[in-house]
Order: sequence, then C-alpha cells, then structure tokens
Amino acid sequence: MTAVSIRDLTLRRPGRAGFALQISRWDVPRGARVAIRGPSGCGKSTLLSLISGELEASAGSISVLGSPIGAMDSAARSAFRLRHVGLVPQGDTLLPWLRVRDNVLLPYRLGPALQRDPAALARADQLLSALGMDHLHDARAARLSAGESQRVAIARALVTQPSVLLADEPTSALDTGSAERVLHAIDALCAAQGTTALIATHDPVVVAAMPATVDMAGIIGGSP
Amino acid sequence: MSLSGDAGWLALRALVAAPGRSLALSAALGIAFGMPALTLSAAARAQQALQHRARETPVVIGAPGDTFDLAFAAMHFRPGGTRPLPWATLEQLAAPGVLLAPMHVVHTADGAPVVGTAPEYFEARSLVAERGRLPAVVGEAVAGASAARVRGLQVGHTLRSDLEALHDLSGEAPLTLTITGILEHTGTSDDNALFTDVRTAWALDGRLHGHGSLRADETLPGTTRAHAYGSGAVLPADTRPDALGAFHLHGGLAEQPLTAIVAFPKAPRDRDLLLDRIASADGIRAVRPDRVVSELLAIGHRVRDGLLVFLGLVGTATLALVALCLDLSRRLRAEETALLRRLGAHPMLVPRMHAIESATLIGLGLAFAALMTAAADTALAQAMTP
Repeated sequence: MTAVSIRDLTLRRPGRAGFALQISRWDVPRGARVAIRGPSGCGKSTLLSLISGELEASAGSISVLGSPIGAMDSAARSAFRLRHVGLVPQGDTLLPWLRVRDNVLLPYRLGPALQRDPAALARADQLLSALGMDHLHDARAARLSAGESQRVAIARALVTQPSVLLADEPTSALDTGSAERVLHAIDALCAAQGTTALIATHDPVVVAAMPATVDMAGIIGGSP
Repeated sequence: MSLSGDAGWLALRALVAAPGRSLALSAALGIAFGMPALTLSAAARAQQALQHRARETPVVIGAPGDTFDLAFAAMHFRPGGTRPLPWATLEQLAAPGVLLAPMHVVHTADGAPVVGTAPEYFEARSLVAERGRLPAVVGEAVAGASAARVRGLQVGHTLRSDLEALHDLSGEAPLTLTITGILEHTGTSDDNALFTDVRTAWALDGRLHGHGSLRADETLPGTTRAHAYGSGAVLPADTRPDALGAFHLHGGLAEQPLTAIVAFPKAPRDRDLLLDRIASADGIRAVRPDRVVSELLAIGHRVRDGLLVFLGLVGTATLALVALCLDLSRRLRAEETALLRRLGAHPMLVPRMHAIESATLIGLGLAFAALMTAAADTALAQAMTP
C-alpha cells in the first residue's frame, strides 16, 4: 500500500521552455519516513507542493493515499490536504497575531473538512512539550524566534494526526543540537501515529536522523 | 463552528492584534459617516429652535429698516441695527383683540441684554417667576433662568448696567438693578435676558432721571398698565433716596423710544386687522417673524446643502483612503492568507475573513459615528437652549 504514488509526472513553468520537474515513477510506502536530499533549486519544494496539491502537474498523475490529486478541483484538494496532509512550509509559517496554541490548533479553524476534535487541545500541548515549547503556549507568535516558529509549525502539522507529513527544510533555523532533538521527536511522533513523512532537506543532520533517504536526483527523470 | 464562525474568529483576532490600526480606521470611518449626520442634526435643531421662537412671536412692529434686525431684536434681544419707534405708536395701535408688548432693547448688564417691557410681555409668553416676583418699579429686574444661573444671581442681588461709552463723561451713568425674581426656565432666549419695566430701560438711556427727592409711593404721571408698574418710581439702592423726588422723563411719554412692539393677536382676524392698520400707517411696518425665519432658513438650507456636498466629497475621500489602507493591509498580509490556503483553508474562508474584518470596522465606525453624533447633539442642544 503506497502513501504517495507518482506516474509520468511533468511540470512546466508557465512562459518558459523546458520542464520544471519530470518524474516517471516514484512510490512511497505508507508509514515510511523519508528524507529527500538534494541541493537548493533541485525541485524538492516543488515536489512537495505537487504532492500536497498546491501545484497542479502539467501531465501525469499523483495519488495520495490512493486518491488522485489531479482529478480533484481546488476546493476538494484543499479539503483533502486539510484532512490528510500535515504541512511544514518554508519561510513565515505562523500567523503572527495568534498565540502559539491557537497557531497549533489553526487547522481546526480552516473549514468544515476537519471536524472538531475534543482531544486536539491536549494533543497540541503534548506536541508543544515534545518539541520543547511547553513554556510558550500563550506567547504571541510574532515574538518567537525563527527556530521556535519552526517547531510550532511542526506541532501544527502533526496536531490533526495526518496520514502524510510534508516538511520543507523544517530545521533550517535550528542549531545542530536542537535540530537533532526536533527530528527525533518528529520521527517518534510519526512512528507513533503511523504517519508517512517526507522531509525535503539539504542538511546532513536531517539525513542522518531519518530512517530513509532518497536523492532528488534519483527521483526526477528530467532536468529541473 | 461554521465556516463563517471560523472566519469571524480569525478576523476578530487579527483586528484585536492591531488595536491602534483598527481604532484609527474605525474613527476615520466614524467621522466620514458622522459629519453629514451631525450637520443635518445641527441644522434641524437650529431650524426647530428658530421656528419655535418665530411661531411664538406672531407680529413684530418697528420703524422702517432691516427686517432681519427687527425680527431678531424682538425674538432674541439682539440690540442695534433698528431705528427707534415712538411710544405713541403703541397707543395708536391698541385694540381689543391684540396684546401689545413694548420692547426697548439697547442696554446690557454684566453682558446680559436688558429688555425694557411691560406686564403684557410676561402674560403673552406665559413667563412666571420661579422665585421672587416680577419687577414692580423702576430699577427692578427679573432675571431669565440661564442669566441668573450663569451669574449666580439670587433674589435681592444687584448688578450694574454696562457702560456704553466709558470715555463719554456726559453720557448716561450706570444704573444698579435690583433682582426681584428669577423666571422659570423656558428653553428660549427669554432665559438669557434681564427684564425690567420699559421706564427702567429709558432710565438706562438717561431719559428718565431724578434731580431731587421722590417719595416711594409716588406714581409717575401719565402711566397705564401697559407702561407702568403701579406704585411708584424708585431708583435702586445706589441712588440716593432723597434724590428720587425729582424723578422725571425728559420729553413727553409719547416721544419715548421703543426698539419694537411685539403684537400677540388673539385670532387670525385680529392679526389681519392689525396688519391692515399698519400697512396704511406712515413710519411703521410689521414683520412676521415666521416668514423672516423661513427666508433665513432658505439661505441656511442652501448653505447646509453645499456643506453636505463638501462633506460628501470629504467622506468619499476618507472611505477611499480607508479602502486603500485595508487593501494595503491585505497586501502586507498576503503571506498570511497564502499560508492559510496552503494549509488547506476552505476557498471561501479568506474572502469571508476579509469581509468580516471590513464589516466589523464599518460597524465600529457607525457606532463611533452614532456616539459622536449623540454627544455632539446633546452638546448642541445645551448650547442652543439658553
């Protein structure tokens, strides 16, 4: 049973010749925890965006948990993402005007696709504790450091107990020691929840911490 | 919670997180919404006050001259700008169906207009003393409610009339007026004035004065109910009692000046008869204050309409600025909304969030406008009610 299945995928950049990304075949088994390694600009983030349904492929198919993402309309893709995919994006990942706990519970405020879960609050607190943020539950997100923000974003991605976690350079703002601790926490939490984790990185620390690693060069069949 | 509930929760959190910006935008909207409403309210209140007083002042008789000056001198005691009318006119126009109240408004005391009049005025306007009594003799005055309150006047207090020309040593000397009563509050210009016998006003002119002793119970010759207060002519306390004996008018009573005569006809027919008589008489004319006020209001309405157009332009510019501010704010927060979409937000969540933010700011602006209008309206009501 695969969590992610890609066939003959092509992504063209609008207005440019050539392909942004081309993958002929790639399968990720359910429950796998994989670091996707590759240099900056090789298409790691693009691949995660295609899997999450944020980007639409020009050709080919992507199935997540057996559901073809390309066959869904925009609203259905959003609902699917909210229900099944935990996302840790790069850059500014929090709403600065919300408190930390509200940011973690944000997915439950984003639409009817995700039912209210009475256990979510307790889970949010547990996740924050596991990621070393238990003293900042009520802090406003705007006051957090970049590393703290990344940890809150990881907690938010996992609070809904998603089937698939997609994390893009989730430890880029952390020092080596903190990164190792956070990655071990992610690995343990995903293992406990049965979550499939795909973590894009160029950081050897991440590669070392994850059970499996694939090279982006090994995934793509065309030039980025 | 529903999608709108979630959108509302997020919108309110965003607004509360930037209270300064939210309040500034609401205040700007409030001013844009409130100023036209306030202008209309102030105009309506001024119109109401002017029309009420005009309706209560049916006909004003005076010498030929400016209509507005005459009407406003009689209604609101604004001295100056009118030519005097001889006392004889009042006697000529006396008729059974009309109450004629003489009015001589030239002087002030401590800034309040001193209105020389007769009992007919108090009767026609239903003015009664809340404390004390109406003036009975020369030198006495009854104060309007506001005039008394502002100056702390009580029954038995005295105050001096204001000097018209300090440098003119040959001019009239200030006269001390004794307060014999305080009138009930009426909400009209009567509240702001001091009322005396018309002869006290002439005394302030220097036309009535004494050179010797006058007994307190002596009555001035030639007086009737319309122009005298009974028992005697007495100068106030700062005038030596033994000098009152020679108290007399310079010139005949018929020649003594009046600013205006306010006529209170008992029926429309009496009014029409009076107006006919005035139309055929020389040297006098009649003014209908309700018509004067209507003319004035017509001018005022044009000014108000122009002001509303101006305020409409300012309001439109303010709304445009607020819209630009909101647009700029949304552009600055584009990464936040992009994040919401990336996380899987329902496609309608962000538009609803923006709509609720805007609606909340507009609602706050309307509330601010309502509060501002109510507060200003109350202040205006107090300012326009003497």
